[in-house]
Amino acid sequence: MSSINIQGFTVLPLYFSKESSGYHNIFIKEHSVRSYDEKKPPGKTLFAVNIPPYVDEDSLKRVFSVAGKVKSVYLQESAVESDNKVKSGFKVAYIVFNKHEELLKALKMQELDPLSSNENPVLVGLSKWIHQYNSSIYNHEKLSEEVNKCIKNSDKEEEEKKAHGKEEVDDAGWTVVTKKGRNPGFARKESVENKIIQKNKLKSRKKELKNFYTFQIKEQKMKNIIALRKNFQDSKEKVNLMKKMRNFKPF
Amino acid sequence: MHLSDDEHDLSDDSHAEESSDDEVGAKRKLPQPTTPLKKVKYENITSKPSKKSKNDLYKAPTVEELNELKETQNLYNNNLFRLQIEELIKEVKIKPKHRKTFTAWFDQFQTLLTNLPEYNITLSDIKLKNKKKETDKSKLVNFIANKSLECDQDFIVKLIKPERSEIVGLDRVSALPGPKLHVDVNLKMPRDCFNVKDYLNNRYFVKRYYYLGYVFYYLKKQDLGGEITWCFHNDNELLPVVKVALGEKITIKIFATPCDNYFKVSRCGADINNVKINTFTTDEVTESATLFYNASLAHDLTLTINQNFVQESLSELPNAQEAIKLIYIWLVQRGLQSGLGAFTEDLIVYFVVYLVTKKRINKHMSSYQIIRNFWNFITETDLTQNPISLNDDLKTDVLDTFQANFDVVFLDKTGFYNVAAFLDVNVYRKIKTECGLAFKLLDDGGINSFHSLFITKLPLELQYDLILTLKSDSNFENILSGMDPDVRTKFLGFFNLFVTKNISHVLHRGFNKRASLIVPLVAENQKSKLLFGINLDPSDAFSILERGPALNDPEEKEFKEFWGDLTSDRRFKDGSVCVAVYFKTETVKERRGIVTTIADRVATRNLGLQYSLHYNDFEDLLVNKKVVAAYPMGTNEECCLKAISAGDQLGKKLRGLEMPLSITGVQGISDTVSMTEVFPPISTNYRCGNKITTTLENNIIINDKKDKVGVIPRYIKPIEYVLQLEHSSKWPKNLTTLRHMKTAFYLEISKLLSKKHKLITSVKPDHLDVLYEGYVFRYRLFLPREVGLLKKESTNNGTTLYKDTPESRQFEVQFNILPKLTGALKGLQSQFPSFGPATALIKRWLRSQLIDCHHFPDHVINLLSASLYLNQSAFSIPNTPQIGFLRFLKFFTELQWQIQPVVANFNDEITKETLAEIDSKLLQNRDAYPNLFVATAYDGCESVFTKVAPSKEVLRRVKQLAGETLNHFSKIVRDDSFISIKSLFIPNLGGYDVVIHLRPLLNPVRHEQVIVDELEGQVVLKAFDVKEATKIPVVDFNPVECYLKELRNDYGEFANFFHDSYGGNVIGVLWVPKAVESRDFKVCYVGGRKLKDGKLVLNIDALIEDFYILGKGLVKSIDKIK
Repeated sequence: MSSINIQGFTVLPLYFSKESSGYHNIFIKEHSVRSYDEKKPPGKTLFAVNIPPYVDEDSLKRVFSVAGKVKSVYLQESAVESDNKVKSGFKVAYIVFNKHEELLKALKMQELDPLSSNENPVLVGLSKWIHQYNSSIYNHEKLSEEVNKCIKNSDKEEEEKKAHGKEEVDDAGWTVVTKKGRNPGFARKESVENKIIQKNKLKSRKKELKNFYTFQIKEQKMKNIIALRKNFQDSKEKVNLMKKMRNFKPF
Repeated sequence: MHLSDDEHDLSDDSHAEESSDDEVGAKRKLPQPTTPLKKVKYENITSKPSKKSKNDLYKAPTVEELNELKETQNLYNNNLFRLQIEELIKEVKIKPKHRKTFTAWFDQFQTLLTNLPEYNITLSDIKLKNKKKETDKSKLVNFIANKSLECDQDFIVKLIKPERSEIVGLDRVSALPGPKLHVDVNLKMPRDCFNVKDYLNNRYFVKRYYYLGYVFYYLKKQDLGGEITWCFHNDNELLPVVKVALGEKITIKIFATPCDNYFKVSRCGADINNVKINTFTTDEVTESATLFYNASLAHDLTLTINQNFVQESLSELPNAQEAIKLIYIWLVQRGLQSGLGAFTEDLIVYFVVYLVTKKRINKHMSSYQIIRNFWNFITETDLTQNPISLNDDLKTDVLDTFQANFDVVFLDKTGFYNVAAFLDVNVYRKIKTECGLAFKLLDDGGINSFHSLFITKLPLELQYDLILTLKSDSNFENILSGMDPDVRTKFLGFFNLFVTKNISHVLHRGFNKRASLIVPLVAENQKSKLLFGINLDPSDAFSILERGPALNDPEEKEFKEFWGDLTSDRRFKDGSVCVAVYFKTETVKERRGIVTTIADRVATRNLGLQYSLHYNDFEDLLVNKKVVAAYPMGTNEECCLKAISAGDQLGKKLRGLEMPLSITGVQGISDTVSMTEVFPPISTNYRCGNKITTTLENNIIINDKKDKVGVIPRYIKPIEYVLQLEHSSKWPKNLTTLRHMKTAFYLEISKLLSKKHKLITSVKPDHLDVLYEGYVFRYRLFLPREVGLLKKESTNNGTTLYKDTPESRQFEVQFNILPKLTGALKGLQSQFPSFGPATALIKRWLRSQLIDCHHFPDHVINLLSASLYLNQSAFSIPNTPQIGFLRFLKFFTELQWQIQPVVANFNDEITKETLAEIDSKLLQNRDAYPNLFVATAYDGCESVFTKVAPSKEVLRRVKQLAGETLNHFSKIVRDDSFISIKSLFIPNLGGYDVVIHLRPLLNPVRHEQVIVDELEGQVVLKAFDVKEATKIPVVDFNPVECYLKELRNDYGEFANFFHDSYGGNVIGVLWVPKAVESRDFKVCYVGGRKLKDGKLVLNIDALIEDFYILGKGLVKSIDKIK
């Protein structure tokens, strides 16, 4: 098969297994970005897009190891994102080789081995789900041990933090205000702040006189009428909407 | 104020509204706003449309406007209602075009009348004759001859010009709702036509018929246009009228009545016999009063007087005329205005006129207030007990005689015509109920009340809990044969009235207190078929005992005769010994079946008729046919109840455990707890077969050592609960540690349960499974702090913020909202026992149309169904699952999610203000809210359950499907079509692009499928036995759902997947239209596509191959359809 090129990408067919009839085209090129990433060194990294959903790091490693030893593989949902969310759909992959030559070799590849072979099957379908279910069962003792260990660790951390937090005056002479102590500060939460603002507003409103000036009374009347009108207009809009849906034909 | 920014991007429509606003403003002759010039100029530059609305709001009010606004507050329910009434009245206005056509016709008709040739023909000469030479006269005679009319003597029929013609009916008082024009024309037959005693023995009616035939003949001969036919006035066979249809839109009915003051109206009293010689049948007649013959006669004699009186009373009251239009529309939507025995349009007019004469309607009232008064009046009065009359000078004994002879009495102006003579008493009761409902709907119907009242058509199969069709090949001869001669005389000419009355009586006897209404559906009646709609009384309908009279009571014999071999003598707790009928039942479904048993017995045994019944046709679909429990089990109620009681017991045990923090709350969140689950779990033993399954720890797992798994064990659904602990402030402040602590708590509970109660449990990091009484219960801990930690964020200046994230929202829904909601639904179920199974039926139907939980979540269905029970609607509360289901379909076909929020207002926790706020929120910025807005108090009216699904497409599809299903059912009810109900639950696979077939044996819910062969391969489960309960079964494992989840996760952007969650073995795939389009090469579009001529196109073959790969082992085959 002659290789097709588009915008610097080489197109390679990827079969799932020997028996597969359909295949996906994956597009590969050398990874090149302005910002340097230690994990994806330029000159050694292959950038591949349109990686089917069932492909995992291991199988991809195996497929590309024909070109040379693959150091690591990163699968991401898109080229931009890189956090550890659950990935789904078609992905992009960064395949990091040890040497530049291997990368060049990989770029010249004409075809790829099928993803899943008898020796190294990719777990999909029923067997995958059964495996998932069966491995979701825990031994209570082991689980308990694990959990306790974690809790202990975090307890320790917490205590360390506490011990650390006791230094209330820092080098420059600033005192950190905490909720404890003789002069506690309020919790710096949004809700608390809002409450304080509301309270102040209410205070100032209480001081206000409402029916003192004639203009105030007038304004109030006006407001009443405006409310009525607004209500009327809203209803009218609604009826118009209903009318548009041919809503008033009884027969 | 009113002008928020989003008002600026006005679409075309709102522009139109603006301008129409202005028009109205101009009509009210408001002065132009006098705002300072400068300001106007400034705003002109910035935003044009907002200027207008601002000025509109702020301009000085005129007196007229103030009055109108105030009037709306006082005289109408609210703005919306008033505007809607105006809109409706506009819609039913009759076009001037039609009026013109009619006037032209009427003028021609008048000339025709004045030029009528006159004849005198002896009655005996009016026969069909075959003469060779036909004169005008013999042609006329041949045309009008009617053998079925008989009379006691021979006389000369004078066919001469009418004295005058006049317009009568609704149009005369301009109270006729359009768009079609119906005019009634009354011809006054001159004095010369009659002899003194013509009211006797059918003579008048014979003359009347020939007179109309004579007009008919010349109408046809002169060809004034239109189609001319005979029809009966209100289906009264003694009162034929000539109907002229000018096109589709105009119909004219021609009446003939005797000239004024010729006959005495007093001859039509309720105690007078006017038929001495039977001219209708060959049977003998007696001296008793000929009630219905008299009433028909009286109709003709009083027509002019009454019409004049009506016009006199209503001509000054345009609002009353409008109200009559509204009432008429309201009745037509309920199908109660046509047929012999119906609540006719004349009756509406008479009632309104009565209210006018009694000063309960005056000219200051709005049409809204008038219909309110009308509905209120009919609800409050009972004309069967307290007859009323339009004639104030009537002697009480006249009223008494009428009351003694008629069911419903409402006398006219003359005091001798009972305008309600033909009104069936049961129809009258139905009308009373409907009026009550309408009245309530006005007050608490919310924004939809107007629609439910006037716009929505309510087909009969939705109005009644059961529809009973009685058929008789002999036209009910068997019922007529046993008639008493006195009764025969009474019903002379109207034996079908007698049949209806008699059957209603027997049905009442059979259903007794079980039925609240038994209504003859007179509009549907045919010679050989009668329909009855029956509404059940929920408190007595399903009682298992029909208690009869005491032993040796005189009525005992009658009771025994009626119930036959079903009766038995029983001693009751109070010591009395009575005859009674006991219905043996084991399940709720069987209890509902009591009604069927009674209907069957009454129809076949007591009435001797064939029948068909539509009452519980759909319940069969809720029955688990292939898997049967060890205990009696009908629809879902039994299994749910058993599971709930087991859950409660276990909950008690949990609360009793001695833990560091004790458990204070155990709340269910599964549908099983609210009884809305279609196939609730069944209590049984779980064994580990060595071939398919093996064991690990406390669990049974699937044996994956074998090469190929051929069968998957039956799906076991865990019943989920949320646990609450007593308050503590010592929980860790870090999310991971908190979660570890939760797991530690699960482990602790598990240890205590196995130690104290010897229960088998299985702990996973995020939940605890307990095997109890043959069920698997799944518990999760709710710590409010966890929500806080999920929401926590901090801003730049160090303030802590709490912000909703998708994760936190989901967590809150599951742990905070769902328990409350499930509790509320459970309460609703205990209040209305049909709620659970009805909701289950909705789910069953929706899923069977391949719309599963992903497209239309279960919780949304629960809420929608609940909203139907909670909100005042045009119907009473459904008493059976079937009617609940059908009304849901109706609700959905009528639902306008674009403008209408659905409110499930449990315990009226949402205030009216909040509701109004939601309304205006939706109106202003529709796109910011879910497609379907479902408000409950528990989620703060945020509609959390519909945030993701259903999509607009799914909503539209469901709407369509619901409409089709209803149509189909309506056909089944009417035509007795042989298409089965089940076929409504079998999806059409036609429209899908790709269909994936699954291996049935790998589908763990295969037994839930809608199937045809019922008894094949039935599995009977063993009762739960504690000794055998050693392992937790494979729980919540469904490969089909796993497959769908992966498909949707990975390929959701290219295709939509449809599947029946209840045992479906096919998955329908539809490509997303946008994904199929070809695109230019770009890295972000490469996924799933291939290169073709330099463009990216969807790699369909590879995707189909992928579907195989993802479902390896599960997929049998994939068909590419397009």
